[in-house]
Amino acid sequence: MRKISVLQDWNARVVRALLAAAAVIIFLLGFLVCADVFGRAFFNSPVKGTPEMVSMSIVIICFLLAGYSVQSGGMIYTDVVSGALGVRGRAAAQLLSAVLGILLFGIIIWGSYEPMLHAVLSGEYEGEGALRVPVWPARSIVVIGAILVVVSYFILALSAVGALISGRTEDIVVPSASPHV
Amino acid sequence: MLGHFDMIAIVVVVLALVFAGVHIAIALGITAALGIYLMMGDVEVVRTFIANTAYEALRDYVFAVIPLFMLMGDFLAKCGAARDLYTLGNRASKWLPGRLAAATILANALFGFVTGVSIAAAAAFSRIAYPEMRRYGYRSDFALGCVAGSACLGMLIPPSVLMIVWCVLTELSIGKLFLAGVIPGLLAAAGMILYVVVAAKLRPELVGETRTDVAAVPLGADVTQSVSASRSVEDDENIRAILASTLLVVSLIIGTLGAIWFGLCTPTEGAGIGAVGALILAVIKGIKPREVWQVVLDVGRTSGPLLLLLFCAQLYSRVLSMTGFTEAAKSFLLSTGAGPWGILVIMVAIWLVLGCLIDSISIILLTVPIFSPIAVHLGFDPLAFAIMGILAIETGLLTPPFGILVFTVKAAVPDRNVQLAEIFTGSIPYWIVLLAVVAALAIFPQLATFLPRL
Repeated sequence: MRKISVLQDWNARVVRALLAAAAVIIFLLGFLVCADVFGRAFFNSPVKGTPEMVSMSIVIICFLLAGYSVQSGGMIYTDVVSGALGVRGRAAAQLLSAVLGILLFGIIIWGSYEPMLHAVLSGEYEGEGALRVPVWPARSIVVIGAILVVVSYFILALSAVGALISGRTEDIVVPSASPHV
Repeated sequence: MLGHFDMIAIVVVVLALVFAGVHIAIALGITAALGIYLMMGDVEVVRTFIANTAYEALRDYVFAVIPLFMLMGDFLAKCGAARDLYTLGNRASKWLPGRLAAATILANALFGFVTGVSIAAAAAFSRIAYPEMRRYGYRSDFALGCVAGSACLGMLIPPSVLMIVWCVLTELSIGKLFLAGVIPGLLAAAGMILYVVVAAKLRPELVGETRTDVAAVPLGADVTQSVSASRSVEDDENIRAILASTLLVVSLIIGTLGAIWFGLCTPTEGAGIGAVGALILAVIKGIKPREVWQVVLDVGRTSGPLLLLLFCAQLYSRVLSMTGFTEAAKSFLLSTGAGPWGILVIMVAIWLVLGCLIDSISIILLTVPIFSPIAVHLGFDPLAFAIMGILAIETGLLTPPFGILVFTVKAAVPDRNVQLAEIFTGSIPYWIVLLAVVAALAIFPQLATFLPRL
């Protein structure tokens, strides 16, 4: 069990660091868009490649945040049925989520590492003309983010198994209420 | 193309997983993977399709509006916009019966222009408006219903996260849908205020009219007068400051939305300018660097699950359209002989039921890829249909057993003795108003389409 809590600790640290990185990118995005608009409006010189950089950064933001979303219990779900079945019902639902989550993001890793290697080795670019945006950062972050999702779901699965066996509430990670309505 | 059995299986599997309590993004993604496998029978195709979608689906300029509008709303909310609006609404509606409730609704309608999330409004006004109404002797179910019911306005009035998600799924123009929501949103607000005023007139005990009389007796008349006189002077100075800051907030919002509506900039550019403008306002209002970081981090926290959901929903809707399910559902619905109106009623009923069970964004992700093409085929205007859908889904947030707005109010209200049942009964008139607006939109789609067509 100790090894797992070490894994849990490190995972929490890494996903939190990536959350901070994503937050910084979101913040800077606002300024980038502003600079682009004002540059075009007043100096007739937009920031080159803004649309490419913005669209690329959304992929990056999404996968930087993916691990944190799972680890912090931010993933949206409904406990209409499982909630009525008590602690074990909720643990079973969590276990099912975790197994399917590992499967889905496993497929993403499996399908994404070759394009990532290609992007890193060949120096692939997106866009044309004056500013070309390199592809490798987004490609690598998709893989890294998916790996962290798998690790986070693995930890969730273990805690769910623990709760299934013991039947105690404290073994279940209680997710926060859905952030969005 | 799949056989009918496989098509139905895809929809049934996703619903089964969602109700089994599987994370909704995962349920959508895994079902999509299953769907491709059923169609192609090849794991290799599944792998490349999913990996490609992971990289391509979100790589679009327009998705940046989500975190940027959230950033703008959160910065403005940090400026104390909700409290300022409430004070102003209170001031403006002095002559109305039930004015505190009317002020809550008015402030919520205006706050809807600030934030795109109903929950934020419900939480804010539970803390600001509810204690005030109780202080004046409003009956608690009346006050609670007012807070929960009017919080729905946040999703109708632009910028709204629900509208953005709807547009992303249907490729409608975000600017146009924002405009389409304005008149129905104001109509709903007017309906709610009308209800409050009529209720206060007919049953003054709801708004504590009888109690204030009794309470006023023990105080000497001159004491009351001097107290109120000195307070109103103070109020006037306060009001001026509040008015000034609200004017700034309002002009920022009108500026960004206006620029989008008049096509001066794209929604993403408008959201970016709005976010930076809101930051500047917050700095003027004395926000600390620590708080700025907190706001930005919070936006990261909330946009993470949302972006993942959007990615998985795109996977699902791509697969759904590949299977030809929408076509099949369309011909099935038409063959039932229900006619366009009957089908509309069925869809609204499904939304209401789902709205009682799961959160609104998930409902949109699950149903809109199926419903929207059918509705357009039946001759409904896509904009009016979108607003009807958002209204119907929001109504579900107020109805038992799982009205999430009601739970938010319960959690945020400072009074621990409040019962959930009180909030549910108090908000019944509000969802009747919302449904009335849905019906009005079905009959007069111009309510939604008038502004965008200008």
